[in-house]
Amino acid sequence: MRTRGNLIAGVPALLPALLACFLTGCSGSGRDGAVVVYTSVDDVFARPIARRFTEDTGIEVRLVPDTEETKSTGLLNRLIAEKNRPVADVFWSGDPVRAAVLKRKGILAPHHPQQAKDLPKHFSDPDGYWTGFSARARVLIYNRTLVPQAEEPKSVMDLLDSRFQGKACIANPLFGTTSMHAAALFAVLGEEKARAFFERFAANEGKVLSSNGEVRRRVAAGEFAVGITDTDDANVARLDGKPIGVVFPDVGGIGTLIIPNCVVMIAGGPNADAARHFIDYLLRPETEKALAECDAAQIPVRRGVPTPTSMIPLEKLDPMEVDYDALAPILEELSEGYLKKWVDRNR
Amino acid sequence: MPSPLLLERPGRWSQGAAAVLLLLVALPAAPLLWSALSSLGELGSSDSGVFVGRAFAVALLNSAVVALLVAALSLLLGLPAGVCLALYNFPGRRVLFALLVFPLLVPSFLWAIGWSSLSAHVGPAISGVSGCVIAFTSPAVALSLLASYAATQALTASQVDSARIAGGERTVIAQACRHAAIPTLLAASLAGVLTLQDPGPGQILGLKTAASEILTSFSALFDFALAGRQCAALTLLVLVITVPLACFSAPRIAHQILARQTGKPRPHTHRGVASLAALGIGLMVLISVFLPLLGLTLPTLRAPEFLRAWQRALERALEEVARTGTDTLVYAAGAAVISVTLSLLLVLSVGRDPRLRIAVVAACFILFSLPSALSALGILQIAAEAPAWADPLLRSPIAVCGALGLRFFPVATLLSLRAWGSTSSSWTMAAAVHGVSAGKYVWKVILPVLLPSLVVSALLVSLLATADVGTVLLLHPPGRSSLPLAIFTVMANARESLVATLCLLYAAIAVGLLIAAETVLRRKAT
Amino acid sequence: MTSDGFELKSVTKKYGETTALDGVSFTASRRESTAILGPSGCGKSTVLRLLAGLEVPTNGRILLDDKVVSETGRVVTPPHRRGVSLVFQDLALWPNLSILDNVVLGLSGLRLSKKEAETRARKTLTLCSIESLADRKPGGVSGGQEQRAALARALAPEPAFLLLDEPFSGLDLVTKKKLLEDIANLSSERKITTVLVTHDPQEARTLCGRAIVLRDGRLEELGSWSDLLESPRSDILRLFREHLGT
Repeated sequence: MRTRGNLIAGVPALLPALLACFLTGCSGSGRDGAVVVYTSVDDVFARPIARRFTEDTGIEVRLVPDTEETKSTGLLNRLIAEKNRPVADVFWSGDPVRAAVLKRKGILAPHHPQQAKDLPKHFSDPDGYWTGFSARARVLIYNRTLVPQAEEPKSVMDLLDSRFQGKACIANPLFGTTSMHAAALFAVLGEEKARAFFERFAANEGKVLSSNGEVRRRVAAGEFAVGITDTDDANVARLDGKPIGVVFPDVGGIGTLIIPNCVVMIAGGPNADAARHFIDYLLRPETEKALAECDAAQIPVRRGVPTPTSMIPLEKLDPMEVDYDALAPILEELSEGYLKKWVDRNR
Repeated sequence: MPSPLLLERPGRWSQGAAAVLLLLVALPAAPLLWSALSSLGELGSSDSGVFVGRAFAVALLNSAVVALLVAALSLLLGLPAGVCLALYNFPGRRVLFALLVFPLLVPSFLWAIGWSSLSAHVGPAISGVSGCVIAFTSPAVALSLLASYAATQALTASQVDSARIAGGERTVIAQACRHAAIPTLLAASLAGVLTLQDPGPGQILGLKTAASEILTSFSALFDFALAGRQCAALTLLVLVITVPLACFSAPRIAHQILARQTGKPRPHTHRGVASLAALGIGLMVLISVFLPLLGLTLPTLRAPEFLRAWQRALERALEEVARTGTDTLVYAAGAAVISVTLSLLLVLSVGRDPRLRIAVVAACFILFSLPSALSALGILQIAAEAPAWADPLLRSPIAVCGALGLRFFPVATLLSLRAWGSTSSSWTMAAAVHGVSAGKYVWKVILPVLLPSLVVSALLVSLLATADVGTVLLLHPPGRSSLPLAIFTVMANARESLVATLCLLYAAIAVGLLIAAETVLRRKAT
Repeated sequence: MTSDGFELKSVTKKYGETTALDGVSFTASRRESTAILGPSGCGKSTVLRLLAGLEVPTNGRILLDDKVVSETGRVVTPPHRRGVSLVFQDLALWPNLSILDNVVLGLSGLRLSKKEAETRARKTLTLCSIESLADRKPGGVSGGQEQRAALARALAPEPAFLLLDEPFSGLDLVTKKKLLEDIANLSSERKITTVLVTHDPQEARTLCGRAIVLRDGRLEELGSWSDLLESPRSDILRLFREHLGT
């Protein structure tokens, strides 16, 4: 009875401890406060950077990643919904188009970080609302046991080829880098040709999967012969020893879409000073080096940053010529219009 | 001085109290359903594809097929397994029982990852509907097994012996299966319904499911109205299945819940049947537990330089555990406290009123079957429109604990009702005659007697809450993720070895906690 | 006072469609212990619970010393203010409390201090010859010892009426005989009026001076033993008379 009595009496004693955990966060804030960072960059790549920032500055980073399936679009819409009372201080986006959308909606605050001085202007907003660094590229991956090297695809248009009928896949073009790629195709090819690409892809029995990660997994497993994904996904498959080949598409043609990471400051965020510290930290050459050396294999956009030998530097690629800022309205229109209907028909 | 007889014959206020408590559980879903209903007027088109999206209609069909197949498999395997475990003794019986129940306590996507990994390394390809059915079957069989076991244990020793005398072991098993059929059917149906709400396996195994579509509608499109309509469509499907089932089986369950057990059957040592049972159950454990666990281990074993890969993966995994461990425990404990407290209040309100008992059992079954996204999205919508001073409540771990607590409150209620059934109305009458107040009686007699059951209830709720990824994903404040959510977030794009190590670590922690709890409870019982 | 003790006036008790008692009237005086006899399901335990105030009459009134304590649809005087104790058929000992704590909790209605309550409880345990079992839990003692524990809890508040609901069921003959004697002696010493529910006329005759016989919820006959046995109308008393050879 006494033991049970103690146990029962112990419950009210637990409650203040639980309450303390709720309110203080138990993990404890850093001595200089905290910064809330929403990121559409894969958690496995973003978190080590955030951890290093905390170790170096003492500022706690409260990272909010997204799930693969709703990558970037999810957080974008959350930032729009929280506009009047922002929770986030910084948005670390895996692509600049989302940042441009936020700029148009008046959610960002301009910031001119010192570290951005030696970053190529082409990858940043001239008004200082978003800054690009460390890039990925959209690549074709193919299963080497199903597709001999001699027959490897060279262009995104090869996905429409009858040799890949029913064996090609892309991620959902409403989300993530695939949505940016779709917007880029509309910008570069024009509406008619871009629509034709999607219609012919569907007619060729191409499959729409939930995410770039699923494209990688299922091409590696041999369920599909070819797919479009990002360089970081392709690199993870390579490191896992999967039998895949990687091709930077459309060299000499429309070019390969380069997608820089982008960092923005949220207007009215609760921790503005910490946000500025974090953005500056993120834009250092050391961060680009770290992102190049990790499994993400992100390509530094800054000249002179040492990269692993397996990585093709940016200057050796044939980038697609796009105005990232101009992609924003195209993306918004497609997401509510043609692409939404196309996905609904073909998923 | 309030009389303890209020607990036995509560009166009219009890119906009101029970209704208030049940409505509290359903309340967070109200804003979302309201959004759904009010957005109907804006649609204009009668095309069902516009109502929920054509893709969602396909996803709903996929989910329904998976749910039906999982329920059927769960009944087929769980019913005889539970009966045999309750009636027969064989070496390793307790261990096999624990292993079969274990899948219930870890997130379902863990099994999906295991199967997906196994098929990728060893083949054949497991994906789509069949893949999801395989992944969901492990936890579903566990649920049916528990129901079948508990129902068989409700037989008296004399009933079993008389069946044995009448027709031997075959008659015993047949009679026990007949007795356990309805509760097991209910559990199997619940298991099927729960698959409708779980986005994990579908996302991993490449199947469009209703749950992942709802998550996408909210997370990507932030379209509360669409998410609400999709939730409503899913809820309608669930209600069509569960309401008739609940009405049919609730009286029987309610009666069994309050039946005081006398002379439970002791496990029998019958060599032939026991050997067959051991073989069959062992095979089930091998397929449903060991194979996916092997799938989780393979990526690390097969990675290039596997020792280094394993070491790196383990370091990263331990970092994740350290980062998310506290919050995982906070959410689990908070959910358990809220669930158990509300369930105790409900049980004290219901007393032994037979009609109220049946209504509560039916309501619990229906509430538990509703999509968890319904409440979570509702809270999110309220938080988005609430003023800043509400943030410490609505945008904090309290919201997560509250949502999880309300989600699993029906489970705690059913266990608390069962525990209440173990008390006797004559104890209450004795208290009334001797002038013991209701409060003193509850504190000195009822709570101590119910305590072991409440602890078990809290433990079960905390484990189930930990495994619920969807709610945490939608509601967790920045930087306050849980371990299963961390796994869910990285599973698509981290190296296989890291994902596999995280899953194995989680499984090991769950097993460790279970063993610790069982040891503590057994020591207290002796 | 026209009557001292309990008086039932046309009491009916229904549970839904089932009538447990139908227009029963009788008096259980303080001056003489009363037994309530009858076959299973005739309403004997219902009568006890009505006397204790644990049930509400569907119709009729119950008086105690000429004061209405229960009437149609309500209990006027709550159980703990009637000066009754009840030994239940299943004893109703609280399983998580020791035997001493069971008796101490049973004194809650008297608002004694903790020390006073414990002293009185120990005295009662001694009276019932189970003082050595004070720290044991009900599940850890024999059937007969449990009966004594329940009796001790009932006697500790020094009630005016001791209501016993088949307290000897399941006991062997020797234990039953000893317990019967002890209850008879204690009731006499402490001037407690016993109302005993039983289906065993022998027990009833040992402990009580008069009896009422119920059948299917109705009063079949009542009176002193000499009157009842002289011309029994009920089967139970006819058989009893044959058994006695009177």
